[in-house]
Amino acid sequence: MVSSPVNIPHDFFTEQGSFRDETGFIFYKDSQVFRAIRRDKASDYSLLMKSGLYKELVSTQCLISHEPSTNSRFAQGALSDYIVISPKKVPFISYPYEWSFQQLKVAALLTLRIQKIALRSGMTLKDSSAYNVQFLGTRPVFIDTLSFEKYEVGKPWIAYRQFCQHFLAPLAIMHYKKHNLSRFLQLHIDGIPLDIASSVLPRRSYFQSALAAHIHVHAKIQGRHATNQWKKNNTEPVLSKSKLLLMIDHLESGIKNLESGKKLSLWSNYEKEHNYSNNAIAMKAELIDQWAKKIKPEFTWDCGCNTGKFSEIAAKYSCYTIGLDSDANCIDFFFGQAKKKDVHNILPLVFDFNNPTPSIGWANSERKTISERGTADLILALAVIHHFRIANNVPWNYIAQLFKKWINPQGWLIVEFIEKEDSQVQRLLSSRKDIFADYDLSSFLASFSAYFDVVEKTQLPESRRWLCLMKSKA
Amino acid sequence: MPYLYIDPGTGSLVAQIVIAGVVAGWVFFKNFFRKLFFRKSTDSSESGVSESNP
Repeated sequence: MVSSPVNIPHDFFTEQGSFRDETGFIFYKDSQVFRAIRRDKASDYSLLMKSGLYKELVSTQCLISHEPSTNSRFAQGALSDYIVISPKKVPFISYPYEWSFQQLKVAALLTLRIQKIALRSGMTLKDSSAYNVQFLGTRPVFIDTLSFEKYEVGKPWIAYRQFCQHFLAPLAIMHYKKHNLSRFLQLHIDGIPLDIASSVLPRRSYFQSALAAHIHVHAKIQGRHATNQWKKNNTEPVLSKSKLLLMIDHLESGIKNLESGKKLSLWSNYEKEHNYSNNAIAMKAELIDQWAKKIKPEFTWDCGCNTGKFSEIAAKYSCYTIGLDSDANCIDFFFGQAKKKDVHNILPLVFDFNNPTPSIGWANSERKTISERGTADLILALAVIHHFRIANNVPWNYIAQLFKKWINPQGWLIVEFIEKEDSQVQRLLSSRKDIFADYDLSSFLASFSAYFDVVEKTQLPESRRWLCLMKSKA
Repeated sequence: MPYLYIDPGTGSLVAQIVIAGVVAGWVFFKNFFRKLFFRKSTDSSESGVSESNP
């Protein structure tokens, strides 16, 4: 554990990922978020509030809103040297390596839009990390109130390189190569180094002026001047505001020109190609609707959500629904559809169950695993557990333990079991030896019963599929 | 580990100034030619109007 920069009351805990900024840090209590801002370093924060920039960014839904904290405990002790504010809580924190192409693209465009608005108000973004953007459903919002500083005339944009590494480079790689390569960002916590991006991108990317300039030329100049110590010299680099704004426009149009690669994948066609009847689908949808309505979960996690058909049903009765799928194309499609419908309580994320998001960064605690970021009141695991059991050889009790870990102590699980005779299961078995003697309904139920009470189980009509409603055991 | 002493930020500042200069020059010429063609087309339409309405 990384300790807090100051002694905060023992019943509060510090966000481990907020240590980089010397002007403040984030801490929590229960479901409340607080940001402490050093009083002696608060001039930029004061300018943000007084210049009208905060008001403009909040009214255009670009920046998370906050209230001054009224907690009297902050007026005593070490925290008295800090201004404490309480930002609106983001329901679920997600990371750029869990986003699909479109999600990273809208986050990039939001960052540039904010930088342009800030420059008009005499401020600039001092960092443009992708981690400063979070999603409220499908709407991106900038969460770092302390990323703004006073713009000094002639000073280049200090966060330019970071922007290129966090946004432009991964988007370009995803545009030209594979759509699921946002996971590169998991390897490089401060964005993809530009020399790597430049070497990975194909030669034809030189014909895109934004990529030629901001990645290839940028990487070359960066490499050539890497050992220079310009800061120590007397001449400071000068860049006029008009040139800076033109450069931001150029970045913006370059990003708008980037598109996701293949639109459809095996799984995004799955909805059309599945092997069960309309009656079975209707029954499945009806049961999920009925059960979710009864449970009224605060958080629903749809594991293996595909293009989000059933996430949307559960979302009608849930405060917030997270759709998880390992297929980046499915998530991109799901995000696009949800954004069109203006759904604000569903967040689709790319998530590989066989190799889940680890905790990364300093002391492995800057960015967290999914279970460290929240728990679910309801988990949907529809037509997914046969992949875990057969394609990845995961024993039944391991699968049950994982769901038990992710569900809160009074939570619910809706799980679909597909019998071995089903053509989809047979497809999985066609290329491997059938070593799964325990792959049957009774063994599955016996393993899950150690962690869950089976409340209801129904066979879907005209199919070999079972839908089970389970409640977490105390 | 000599690479740990390399400062990627310095090169990036140089790159930014070079790239912003090139982009500004490119936009200037683009706008210049656009205005040139725009004026030409405006002139021709204006002349067309004047011809039809002597």
